[in-house]
Amino acid sequence: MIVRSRIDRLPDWLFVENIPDTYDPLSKVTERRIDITDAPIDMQNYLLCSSGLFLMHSRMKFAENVIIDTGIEGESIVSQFIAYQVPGSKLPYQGASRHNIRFIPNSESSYELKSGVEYTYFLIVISKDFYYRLIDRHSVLHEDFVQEIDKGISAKFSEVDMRATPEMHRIIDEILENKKTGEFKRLHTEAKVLELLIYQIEQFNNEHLSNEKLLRHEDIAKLEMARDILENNFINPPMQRELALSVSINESKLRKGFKEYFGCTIYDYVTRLRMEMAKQLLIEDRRTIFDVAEMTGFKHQTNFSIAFKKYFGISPSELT
Amino acid sequence: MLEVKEICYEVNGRKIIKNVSLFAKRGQMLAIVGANGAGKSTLLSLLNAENKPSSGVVTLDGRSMSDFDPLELAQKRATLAQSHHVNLAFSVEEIVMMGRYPHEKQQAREQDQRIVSETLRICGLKDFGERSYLQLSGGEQQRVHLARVLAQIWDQPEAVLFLDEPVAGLDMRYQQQTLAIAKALCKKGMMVIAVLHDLNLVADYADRVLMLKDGRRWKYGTPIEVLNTLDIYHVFDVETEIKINPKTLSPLVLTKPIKINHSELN
Repeated sequence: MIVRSRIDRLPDWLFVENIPDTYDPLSKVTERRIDITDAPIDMQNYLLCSSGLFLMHSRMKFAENVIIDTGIEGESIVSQFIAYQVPGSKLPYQGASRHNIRFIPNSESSYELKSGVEYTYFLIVISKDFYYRLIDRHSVLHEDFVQEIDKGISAKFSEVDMRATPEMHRIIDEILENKKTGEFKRLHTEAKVLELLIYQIEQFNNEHLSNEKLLRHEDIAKLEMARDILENNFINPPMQRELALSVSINESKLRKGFKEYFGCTIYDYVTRLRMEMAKQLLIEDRRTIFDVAEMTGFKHQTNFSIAFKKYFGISPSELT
Repeated sequence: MLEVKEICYEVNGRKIIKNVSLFAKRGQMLAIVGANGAGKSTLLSLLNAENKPSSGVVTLDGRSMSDFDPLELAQKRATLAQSHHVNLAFSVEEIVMMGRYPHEKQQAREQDQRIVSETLRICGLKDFGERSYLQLSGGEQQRVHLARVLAQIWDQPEAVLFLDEPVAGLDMRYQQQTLAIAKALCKKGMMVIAVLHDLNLVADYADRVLMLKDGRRWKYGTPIEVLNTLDIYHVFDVETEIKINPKTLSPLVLTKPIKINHSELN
């Protein structure tokens, strides 16, 4: 994706950043500051880029009205916080800081910024790929939003922008004040971005669903039944369609609800049970890898070894 | 099976526990981890029916916890609290015998006596029975309470044991011993739910881990699933490296020391 921005009276782009869409945990984080104090413009910008993620914080004040154009190319999820302060006003921030999360396939937008007003702007642009890594696409937390993303049309989480909470401000400060370097810089930034998104989504959901439960009572009972079936049949588990049928719930509801309620997907749940059994058989009962693969329901030993390594981080043959 | 269905807990309009769901099975130890103030002890008090959730429900074997009468609860579950206040000069044995009160008819039976000596022994207090509780060290006092709580459920094969920071203040040996006892009780068919801070003990002893952050369920799974660099960082703000012990398949959590510049201290 490409993120760029310009001010109408400057000949050059303020910045043009080309961000790789695909999330790569080993990619580097780059940061820079762009400060312009040249009347009528007074702005301090902080930019952070890494794979799948662009982040910007700006403080700006203009002696004349100016227009800022911002363009984003590529499918991305955008979270932004805007606060402004009119000089002489007693209120700390009129309209406080407002925020929203949007999905934008491609966009060019222009904002007019009024002279004399002090703006604080915080922007996070996340590629679709990275967003789904942060928040599972099946999570009921953002069900409606995901449907619109899948249709490829512009969408926003909340109809009206919401008021930012102190929790959210604290996280933004933590992102900006982060002095870590290297891999931990990236880890810290991702952790905080996710935390911020969670608080935003939580606030939207609380507002819109009020006290409505995410899952209904009958559904919970069905999910629990499904879990029992998996516990008793994980060596040869039913297909998800069959599972849905046997607890009479619709398949997509089962998938989403399971993940939401038990905190993991049906597939991961079966893997967990198989791997726990494999661990017991290998370590306590000292069975051979061949036996264990068969006993835990794998048709081929290689498939077992691959799944084992993915789960535990080491191959069964590396056990000592 | 203990099932926790979307529980919230609110005090003075402030939500301390937010929509937590989980389940724990007999034969397994569930560890609850999280930063100070994340809501671990509060959650434990909702699970053991000391407090009632503002919404949602906790069921034990399909029956809501609030439906049990107090005596029934005392026979089904025991809780080791984080701190204890005993100011009277009870003997160690007397305190441990208090664990048997829910089971005694008129006075302590032979069975109760036997259980008390057994739990004293397993807690390394074999020869402490006659001693005054107040003259023991902090770690020894902690073990007396463990013995008392164990005595409460020792002959209840389906009991649930709640431990709130059971190894705080114990030396290395008794940290291991305490969790080994808990694990052995699980093998006998009980269920143990423990708030723990040492992630390496969690890795070695727990079957399931619930990671709490700001009263929310952040992660819930096996130690290998939950104890990873990113989630530990999310929850504790601490940088760690995870290795896998090739003998036990348990994750090993290695922390990186933090440096504070001494010139910034004033």
